[in-house]
Amino acid sequence: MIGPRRGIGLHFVPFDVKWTTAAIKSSLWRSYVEDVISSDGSVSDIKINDDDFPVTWKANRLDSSEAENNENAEKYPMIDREDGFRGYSPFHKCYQDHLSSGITFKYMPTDSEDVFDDDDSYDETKSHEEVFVVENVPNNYGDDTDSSTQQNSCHDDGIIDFNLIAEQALASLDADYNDTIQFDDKHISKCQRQKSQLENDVTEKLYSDETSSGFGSFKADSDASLLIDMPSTFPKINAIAVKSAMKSIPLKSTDNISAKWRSWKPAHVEYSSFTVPESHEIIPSKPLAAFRQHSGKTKKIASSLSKSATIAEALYRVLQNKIPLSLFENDVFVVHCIVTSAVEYESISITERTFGPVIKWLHQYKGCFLPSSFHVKLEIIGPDIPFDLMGKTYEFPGFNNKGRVHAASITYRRSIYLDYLDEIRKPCATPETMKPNMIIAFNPRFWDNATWHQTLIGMFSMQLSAIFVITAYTMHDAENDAKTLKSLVSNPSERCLWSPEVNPFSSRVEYQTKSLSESCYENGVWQAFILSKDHSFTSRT
Amino acid sequence: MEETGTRNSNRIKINHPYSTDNDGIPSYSQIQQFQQDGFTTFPTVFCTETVHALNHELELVLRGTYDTNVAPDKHPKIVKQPLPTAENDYYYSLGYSGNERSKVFQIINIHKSNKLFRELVLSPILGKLVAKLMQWEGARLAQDQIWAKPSGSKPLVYHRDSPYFMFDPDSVATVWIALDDMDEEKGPLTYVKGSHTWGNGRWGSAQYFFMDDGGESLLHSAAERAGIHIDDLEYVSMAGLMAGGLSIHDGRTWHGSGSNISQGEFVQLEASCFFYHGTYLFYYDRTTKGYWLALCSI
Repeated sequence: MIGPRRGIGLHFVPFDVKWTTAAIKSSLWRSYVEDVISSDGSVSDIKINDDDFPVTWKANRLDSSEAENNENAEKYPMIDREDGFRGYSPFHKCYQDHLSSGITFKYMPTDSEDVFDDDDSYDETKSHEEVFVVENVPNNYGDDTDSSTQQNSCHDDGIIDFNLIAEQALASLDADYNDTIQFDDKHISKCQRQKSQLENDVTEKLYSDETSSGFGSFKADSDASLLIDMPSTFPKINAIAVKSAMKSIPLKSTDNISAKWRSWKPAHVEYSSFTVPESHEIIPSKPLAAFRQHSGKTKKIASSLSKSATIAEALYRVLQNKIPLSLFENDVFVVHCIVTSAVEYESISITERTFGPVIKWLHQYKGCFLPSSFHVKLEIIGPDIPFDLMGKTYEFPGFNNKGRVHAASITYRRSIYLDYLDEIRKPCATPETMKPNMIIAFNPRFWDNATWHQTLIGMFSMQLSAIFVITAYTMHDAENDAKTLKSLVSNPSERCLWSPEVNPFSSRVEYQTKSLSESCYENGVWQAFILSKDHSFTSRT
Repeated sequence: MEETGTRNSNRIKINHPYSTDNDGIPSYSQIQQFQQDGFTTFPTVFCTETVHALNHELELVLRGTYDTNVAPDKHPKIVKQPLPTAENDYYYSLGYSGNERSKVFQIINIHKSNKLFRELVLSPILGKLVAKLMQWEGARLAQDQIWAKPSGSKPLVYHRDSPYFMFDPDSVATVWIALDDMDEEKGPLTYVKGSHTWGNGRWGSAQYFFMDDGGESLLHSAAERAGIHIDDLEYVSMAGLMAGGLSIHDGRTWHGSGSNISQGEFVQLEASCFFYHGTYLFYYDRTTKGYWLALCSI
């Protein structure tokens, strides 16, 4: 039949794109960037013109009814950030400050709830900056130190003024001291006079011996005996001992201080044997022993078993504490592993090595907690799953009637997890896509990635009946994950099975990363929540 | 969107079950298939009346009638033939007079010139489909392009869209809305299955622009660089897609289209070559001894 072939092609890009300098080469795009490029500006700063490049759709997973029920909608401003995050976040101002300051900030957990009142409501009037400190500068002078002073201690050229930091630290300690210990006016006055006298004496001695080599290279005067009379409340200060201790501090130069400061690491929790039980309901004795020993070989073994053991321990805790979850409904145990780094799951053999042990342990289980026969379905889900694994199912071979597990499989799903959950919740979902009994995210660092937020909100709003386990590299990470959840989900503590705690089945091999200043281990710390229909569940182990 | 009866106002009617509120579209399996193949199709998204209205507006734009008083960013020479009447609308569209016309019409950003097309390109359902398939949090229209091939027009060289969009991130997706039924002889859009995974290297090299294979030189060179033998390429034609249906492809997916031989006379490409001149990729057809703009390039 004679006729034209007409059509219209619409080219879409992500709504948050930026121009690249290559646009100058294109006759189509040149006009949008040439002015900035000719003035040596940055094309990434150019705001995309919404008239010429209209945004036609934006994800907003919170529909109106959910938004009404979401307490965050009342507490926090709706955020529609340029980086794509859309939701309710108390940290938005911090994020904006972070963008505008030019200084890299790192969220630091605080023992006190600085920004959350007792009723967990967010107080906009309090300074959000209090929970942020300059990255790479250890926060060893109290969490309540105003970050503005810390920012000031960092020069424009990025060099940290350690003298200023030290003065601020001392001032902060003084303030704490005066605020904490209550005396009558007379007593305080006397203390202060004597304290000032002590400071003057020490300062005088220090500077009298100061050499040209710098502040830190003072020479102690061993002959001087500075015993200061203090009120009876305090023990007498032995200035000689103090000076002796000061002598032992090898302050050679500011460069040395700086180097030591940079290499300083806070003491990490020792994963010593006492955290690992002598016997375990699910994990056999031999693999369990690997977590108690500390040779190089056993450390590697324990690290390879960490994920399996973590699943086993989580399962055991739920069963032992009679958490009201139907983990083996229809004799199928479905575990969803949310993948944050597809590298760890880039081949079936790697995944088999990672999760094979727990399936074997479940198969060989002799106790009374598990059903007599069940199917284990493990699903690896993430947007970065390699194409060649997408949708593939691997059946573990060799299961027989002598054990508990009659079949076990691993399936790879290339999808954002929330999209996958949406899919399996549909009435028309295929039997192959089953609701999870356990969802586990290994070291996701939710707090550091806003793209997780909608997924987390969705997971907690769905009518799932599952345990949600989150591991983290460090206690800081875990606490930040918990705070992120707190900012996104209403009353997550009511669904908390266990708060961040050291995972007895942590990897024993230190995880090497430049982004974290402290020692960290895969699955080093963990916490768990219940995603149950019953939101008022408050049982804790 | 609802029909209101007024010109250029809410005349984009979307068929059931396509709506922004329907979370089941695209389905999970369709997203999986899209990620595997690099393209997917959605039949009969827009109703017949909408397609007719759009084709009518296209005729107006081709004749220089812009209801926004703004010309498109790029448009062909103004068509002088009168508007087709209702009786011969289909046959004489695009200014077709019965004589062979082999040049393909291309209009860039017709949405700036026509309100109905603007309503079409801004349809949230399109942005949603794209964003869901590409796993974006939102979709922004970068450009629209009308491609209208009258009877006898030549094939479009196989290419990818992503190299033409200088954005960061460099992810691009294209929605192709059929405004005519895509019969095989009209040279429908054809995708190369799985070609979006071949990598992002520069396509082709100069020696391939002079090969006589109907526009597949660049495709073949890219396939070879990806370690794929050209005999193993899997072509998927959009033939059978009815007007109002659409396909969506990843910007990295190789695609092209054949000649429109619907007038029953196969226009054979005896020999042709491609070459760059300035920023444009030109195509020399030895049959007609004419130069044609094959692609607007960087």
